[in-house]
Amino acid sequence: MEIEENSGSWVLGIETSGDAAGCAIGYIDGVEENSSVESSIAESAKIVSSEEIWEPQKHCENLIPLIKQMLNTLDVLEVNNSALNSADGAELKNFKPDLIAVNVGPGLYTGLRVGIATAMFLAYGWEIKCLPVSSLDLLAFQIHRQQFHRQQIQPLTQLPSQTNAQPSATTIVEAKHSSQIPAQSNNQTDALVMSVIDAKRGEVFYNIFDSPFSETEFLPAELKRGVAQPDELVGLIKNSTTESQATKNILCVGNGAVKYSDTFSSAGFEVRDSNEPLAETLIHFAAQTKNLKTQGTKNINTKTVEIETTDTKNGNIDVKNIIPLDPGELQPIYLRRPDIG
Amino acid sequence: MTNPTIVLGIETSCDETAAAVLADGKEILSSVVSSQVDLHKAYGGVVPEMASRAHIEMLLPVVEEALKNTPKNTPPLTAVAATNGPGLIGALLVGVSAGKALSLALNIPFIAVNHLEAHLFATFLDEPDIELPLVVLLVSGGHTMLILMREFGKYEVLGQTLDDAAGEAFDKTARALGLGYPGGPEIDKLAASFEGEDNIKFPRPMLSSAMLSASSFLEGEAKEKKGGKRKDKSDKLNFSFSGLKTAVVNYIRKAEQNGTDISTPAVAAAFQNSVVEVLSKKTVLAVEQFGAKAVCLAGGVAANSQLREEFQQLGVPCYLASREMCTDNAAMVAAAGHWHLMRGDTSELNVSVYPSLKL
Repeated sequence: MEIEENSGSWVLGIETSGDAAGCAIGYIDGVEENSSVESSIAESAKIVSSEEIWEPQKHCENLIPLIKQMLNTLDVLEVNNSALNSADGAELKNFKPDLIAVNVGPGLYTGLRVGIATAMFLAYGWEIKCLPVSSLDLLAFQIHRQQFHRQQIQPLTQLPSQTNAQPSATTIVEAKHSSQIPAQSNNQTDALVMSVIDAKRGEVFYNIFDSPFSETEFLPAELKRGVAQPDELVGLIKNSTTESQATKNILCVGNGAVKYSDTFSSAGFEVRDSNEPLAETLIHFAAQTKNLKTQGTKNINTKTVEIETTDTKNGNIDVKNIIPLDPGELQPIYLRRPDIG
Repeated sequence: MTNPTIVLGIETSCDETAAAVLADGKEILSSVVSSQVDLHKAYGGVVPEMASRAHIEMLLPVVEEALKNTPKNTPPLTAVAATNGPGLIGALLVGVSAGKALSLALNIPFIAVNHLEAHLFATFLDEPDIELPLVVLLVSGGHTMLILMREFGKYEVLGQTLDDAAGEAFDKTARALGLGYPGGPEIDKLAASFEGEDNIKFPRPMLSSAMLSASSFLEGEAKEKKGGKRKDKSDKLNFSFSGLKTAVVNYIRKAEQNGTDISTPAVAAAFQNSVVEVLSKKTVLAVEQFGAKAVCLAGGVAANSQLREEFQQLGVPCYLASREMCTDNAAMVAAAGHWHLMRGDTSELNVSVYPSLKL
């Protein structure tokens, strides 16, 4: 990807890990080099277009027409925006993004593969790269983002226990006050976030996060990011939590959390009613990775650096160093062996 | 001189990941097939989820290879065609999603192709000037059907299997005989090596009654031409291979109970004799009944040597696609796609996949 210094990137987000076929197009400004993760959460991206079509097992039918419709809209869009009026903007007739951020799972395999095959071959045709994002990371990031923006209004601890408000493009742009953002504190009232995705057959895919990009330390590494039955998972957490951690609230997000809300609620965890990964969150997630801006002056060699963005075994997901991949390198995250039937 | 029409074909309906580039519907510029046979071997059949996983892993490299293998001065792609059925749903979804995406990125048409129709086009890639009407015997692991082709795009299924496909019978019989997967080539090899007496006789399912009633059926045809009512389409051109497989299994079991040794090559040969005789004789019946000018063999089982030999002695001009074109490949998908493209018959991007798509 060749992007001039300080120029931004157009990103296409593709989300098919659940029942929805989702697509979003957004613009990421050039991020200042030493902005912290916390401040750049607010920095985010400008979402130009974002839509989910909630129709189970219809990803193949719905996704590509949705993407085409969005690209067409962009082709005729007249926006008094410096980004859109830039050199890129002059060629909007042949609009193509600079990057595709795609949810690579875990999730429902069939839909997942539709999204990944789509991202792969769009990127191949456009000769651009793909940013693979795990659905578990994405969910945790999404809830952190929502809380972060709400924090501007009220403290996290006073949040209502359920919300279905999704940040719209407008509120995101309006909420951009990076200078006023307080650093995230590590006090005990902070909730741990557990992404829980329905894996069918009575199991869930899960991972637990301390902060947007940091997996918790308290689970043994080999038990992180896995697949388990909900009550197994609860037992696992209860056994692994230290006393101080036990005072932390565990906030469960995702369709698996909703499906097994009884199990998680009776364990004392908080369950968010509605929190499916959205395509636009993929673009905000992409905005966190500094490698999107491969300035000529930086020593970033995307060919030689290989970082398993989602296989981080211990500690932090180094989101700032997630490397966009060539489309052929995209692979779904299954977390389960194939059914031999 | 106008640029040739260049179509990329994508095939992921079962256990082959394939891509091919075709110029003007007839010249194969490249054809790449990545077979998953080794993956599924241990399970004695195609495991759908494993197939889907292999497709998404292999498809981009295969497409890349196909495009790279084209001659240097090849013009850009005109269209992308991909199989959207029949086949395994998860496998089909990978190829169709990929094909749609590439067509959108390159801003060229997408054409969803029926896998069965693609098999019919395979023969024409080798022999463009076959006289119609034509009877095609399509035999593979998933299908066994006799098709009447009066013109391109107009197909009539004259008969098909009521239970197992011929290729399936080969696989199951091979398993009963302790042979490897896929069963077709194994049995083919063994049968060819068999030189003894033809002592074992397995049934010819649904053949004798068809032969007996062939004349009365022809009378029915004649009546119809005179304005009379034709009898219901009977089973004369249908097939059934499940019973044949059972006969083989019973033969083996009986030998085991009696403590007698069986000759695996002899059983393989006897089984194959039965399949080939049924397939050939029913094809002849179809040719006679519908006045076909030629016959074609298509599908994976069309690679069977005895069947190919037999078809050359049917007494009608017979066209045998090369073995590469008989088994699943993407050149045939591109060929069918090209034909539809020339008729302006391209697909909407919301087109679905159809695991049980009919011809």
